[in-house]
Amino acid sequence: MKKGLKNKNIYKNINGYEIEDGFNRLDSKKKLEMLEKMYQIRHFENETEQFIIRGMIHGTCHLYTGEEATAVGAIFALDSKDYITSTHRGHGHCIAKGADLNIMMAELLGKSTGYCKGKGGSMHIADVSSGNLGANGIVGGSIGIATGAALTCKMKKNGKITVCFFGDGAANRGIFHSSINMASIWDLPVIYLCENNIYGMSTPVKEAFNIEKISDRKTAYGIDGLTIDGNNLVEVFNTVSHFAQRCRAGSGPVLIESLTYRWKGHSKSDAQVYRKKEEIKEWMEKDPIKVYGQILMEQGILSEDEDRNLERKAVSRIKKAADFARKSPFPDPSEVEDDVYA
Amino acid sequence: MHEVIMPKLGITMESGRIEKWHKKEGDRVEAGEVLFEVMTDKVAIEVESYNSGTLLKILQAEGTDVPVTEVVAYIGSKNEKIPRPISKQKAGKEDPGAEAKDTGKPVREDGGILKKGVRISPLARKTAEKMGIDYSREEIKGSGPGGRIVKEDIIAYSKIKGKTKKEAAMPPPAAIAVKSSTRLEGPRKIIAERMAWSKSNIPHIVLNVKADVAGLIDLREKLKEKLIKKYNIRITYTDFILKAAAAALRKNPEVNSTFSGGNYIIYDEVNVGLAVSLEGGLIVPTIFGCDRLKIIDIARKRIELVDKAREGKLNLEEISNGTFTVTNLGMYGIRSFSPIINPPQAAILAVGEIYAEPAVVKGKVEPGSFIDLSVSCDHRIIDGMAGARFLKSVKELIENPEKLID
Amino acid sequence: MIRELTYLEAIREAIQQKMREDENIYLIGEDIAEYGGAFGVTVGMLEEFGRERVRNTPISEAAIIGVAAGSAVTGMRPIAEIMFSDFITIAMDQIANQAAKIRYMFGGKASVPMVIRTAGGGGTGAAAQHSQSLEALVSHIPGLKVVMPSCPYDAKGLLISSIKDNNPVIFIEHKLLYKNKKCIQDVPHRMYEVPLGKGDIKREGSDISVAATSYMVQKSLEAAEKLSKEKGIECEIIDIRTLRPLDIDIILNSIKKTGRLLCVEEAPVFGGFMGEVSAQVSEKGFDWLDGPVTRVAGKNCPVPYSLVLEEEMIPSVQRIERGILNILNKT
Repeated sequence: MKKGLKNKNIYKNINGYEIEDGFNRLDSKKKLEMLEKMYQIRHFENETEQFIIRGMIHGTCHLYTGEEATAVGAIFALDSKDYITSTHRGHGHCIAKGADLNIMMAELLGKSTGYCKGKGGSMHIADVSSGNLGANGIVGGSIGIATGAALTCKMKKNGKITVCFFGDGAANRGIFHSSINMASIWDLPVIYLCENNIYGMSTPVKEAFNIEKISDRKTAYGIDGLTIDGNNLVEVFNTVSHFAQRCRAGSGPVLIESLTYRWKGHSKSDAQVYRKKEEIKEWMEKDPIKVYGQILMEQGILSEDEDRNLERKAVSRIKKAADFARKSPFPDPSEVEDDVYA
Repeated sequence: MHEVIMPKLGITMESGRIEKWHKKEGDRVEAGEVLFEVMTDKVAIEVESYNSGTLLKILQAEGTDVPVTEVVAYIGSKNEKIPRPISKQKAGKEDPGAEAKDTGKPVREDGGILKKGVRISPLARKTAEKMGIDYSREEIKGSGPGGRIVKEDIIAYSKIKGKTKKEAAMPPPAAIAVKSSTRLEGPRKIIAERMAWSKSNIPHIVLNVKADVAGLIDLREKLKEKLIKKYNIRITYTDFILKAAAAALRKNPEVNSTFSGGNYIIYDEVNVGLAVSLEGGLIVPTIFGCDRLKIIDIARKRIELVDKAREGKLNLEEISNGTFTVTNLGMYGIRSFSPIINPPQAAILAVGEIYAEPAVVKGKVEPGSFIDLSVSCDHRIIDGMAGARFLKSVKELIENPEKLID
Repeated sequence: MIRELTYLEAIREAIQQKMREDENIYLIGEDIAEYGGAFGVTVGMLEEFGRERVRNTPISEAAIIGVAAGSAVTGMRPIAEIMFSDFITIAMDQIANQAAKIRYMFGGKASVPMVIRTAGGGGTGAAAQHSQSLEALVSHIPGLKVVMPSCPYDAKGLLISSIKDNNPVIFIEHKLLYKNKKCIQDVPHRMYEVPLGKGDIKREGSDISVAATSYMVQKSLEAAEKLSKEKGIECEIIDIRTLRPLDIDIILNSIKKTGRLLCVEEAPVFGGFMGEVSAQVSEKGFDWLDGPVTRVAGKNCPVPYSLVLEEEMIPSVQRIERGILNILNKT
């Protein structure tokens, strides 16, 4: 990590933007928290996979394994009262935003103790009171919602911002275009964070786009935009932190493209015929958790033992969540028509 | 020890076929390595091992279809003991599917009254009209929602009133060993339907009489050889009975009739059918104008028709348009029976075997020969007196058989 | 004091009065600012409430509804305008998959208090893509409420109730009612509510019940007047007003009296909203029916351009009359 070129503490120049170093203003506690959070996501997804193959999750899940740095880096750069919207591959975002793991796991199993009383499932987990405006089953489905949340923040002048997560696939949906355009003309405080993990469901990005960087679409809307290494938590943290400040100050929306990779198939029934094993292996060697762990070790705030401990803690926490979920009751069928209307 | 299970790889997947094992028993396996391939309906999916260790045992071979979540192998340390197979429950959902619930609101119970004052469905209304039931006046109980009269109620009501008959289906008891079960088809089926119809729709009255056939036996003996020589025809008692019945019908025309379309029709011809038993069922060829035929001609006709019947060569005309039927079970040792009228006829004569019984002749007891005659009549049009008159005529002719030959 | 307003003026007044009362209410839609809305409903709003609360948008129906929904979840009470109801199709994901379902999917832990106002119906020569009546699509989706006012008084009261309601409400106005002179009414100046989920008997009668929506209520009333004068037939006209949640009781009570029901709507008959009314009446009111529920509705085709064809497609007063006479087996 470079030292600032000027007096301002600059982390790096990315795509022409001098990104400030917010990471090193954090205390060790916070830094270690982020590593633990990544472990939680990793093991939560592993546990979820075990549930899936045992048929205990009605339906399927889209696992975030391998992308942890983006969710954690981005969300930890926000205030707790800021909003996020998530995607169908949203467990990582929800956990990073501070979701209760018990209640999350219970929702996946369709139990009444879940976040959505069992009515939403993996793709619709939300915790509006803590700013999580929900995972979304429609590709790009939450882009409009996030823009609306940003409009509220602007109209109420409450100083909050919204981070809208979406994937490379969503960048080709109409709602991406019309929402970002609207956010731009109205200077809405929203960060559009595109998790480019190279594949939509099976379609590689180079077949779906005729441009090199998705963030280049910023020009179409007259906003800021850049492409970053999504597997480097520090880079993600610093970039989001940098733009969050500016958003809050009224500089309008920004399009951040975070390059990352999902280790697992799109969903559990994906035979992954569209990508080579070597490619997966290559990315797995760039495990964002190991990358970040390495950074912390170099900074002297993490030892190998402590690293293993953190992981063990996470595993144990997940097991508790799985237990809670297993033991929780299913909703009463008579409740099926409740909560349709306010 | 870790169980390797058949994973649920798709929302609707219930089982998967193991295409290929990438490791064999005894091999070292690292977490993340491909262990085996599963064929789902779309494609072959590689399943990686979640654990490291030695592949201790493969429980399901390549090509086997394995239900989801069943154990297919064990991974553990080299000399670990493999657990004994436990019977596993079927693929793993924890919750039994909730029954589809009827979320519709209940039908209103405070039944409104129609203008006529009766709650009745349109179909029931139509059925009632067809059956001539005035539902607005008669006390019909409604079994539909809110006491509405539905079609079944009309039908049930009509049964009580005897206005219609429904075919009762009585299933055989299941506990009896069956020798054979044949679906009724063709002539057998038609016979079944006609017999059922006849018995349920025509009120049968059966009259019985005993006739002294001593004279008939003598006469036949006398004629038998002569007729064989002259015409090569073997005359039987049946021929005499046919002639007697035909003559009696000519004399008592009210029995030579039919009840059809509300009309009581008396025929001008006497066409007597003779019931012939075949393997495939009963068939009744007709002897047309039987009363005008000489007994030898009746015999000739009888032989012709019975032969044709046995060869299956009777045509439609030959089995139609009978006005009366004679049926004889004497050759089977039956003395008497109550026959079922052959619709659309109005009566049928049953004849049994000739039997020996003491007779009283001029005050003295002698050995006698008798025959029982039973006539079943359609009691809608033939009352006891008419039937008795007819039967008396038949008896008189049988007992005075010389009247039958000319 | 008698104060007659047009349907359009009544709607405008409802919006203005509510916006003055609650600063969380804002407008979002195309050409609603200086232009005052394609039909003129929002004339004067920009001057009174400013650009922050009267948000003119690019042509982006999906974003309009998506943004409205997102802001509603986070504390605002938007009134979004979709210029022609035909364009709800462009925003269908936001309406059906997002706004309608957020509350339920999140286990009741969120609500989406928003109104989508839109102008539907034909008879203006605007042809197939600008004349539809798509209420069947939206009333089918659980989570949405659907309202169709037929007159100025109801329009103001129903819109106020819709704005107050904490659910996504699709408020379908009719183009031919906005400035319809036959449809001017005395509208109270104060804010009043006409409750959602309650129909209204617009005309009493004992020979036959006629249930209708929107502009068809007016046409049915015309037909009823004619039949009363010319043939002494007295029709009871039921204005459904809220399609979802449906007030089936008002219809059932009416057929208890008359024994006969004709349903009238502008949308093409196959799969139209009146099919739902028919089914419910058949399930719940069977015993009071002297004959089947019948419908007079749009012909099964897109709205044609040529006037003579358009008039054939859309139910006319004559067609409604004929429908009534057919049920009564009269000529």
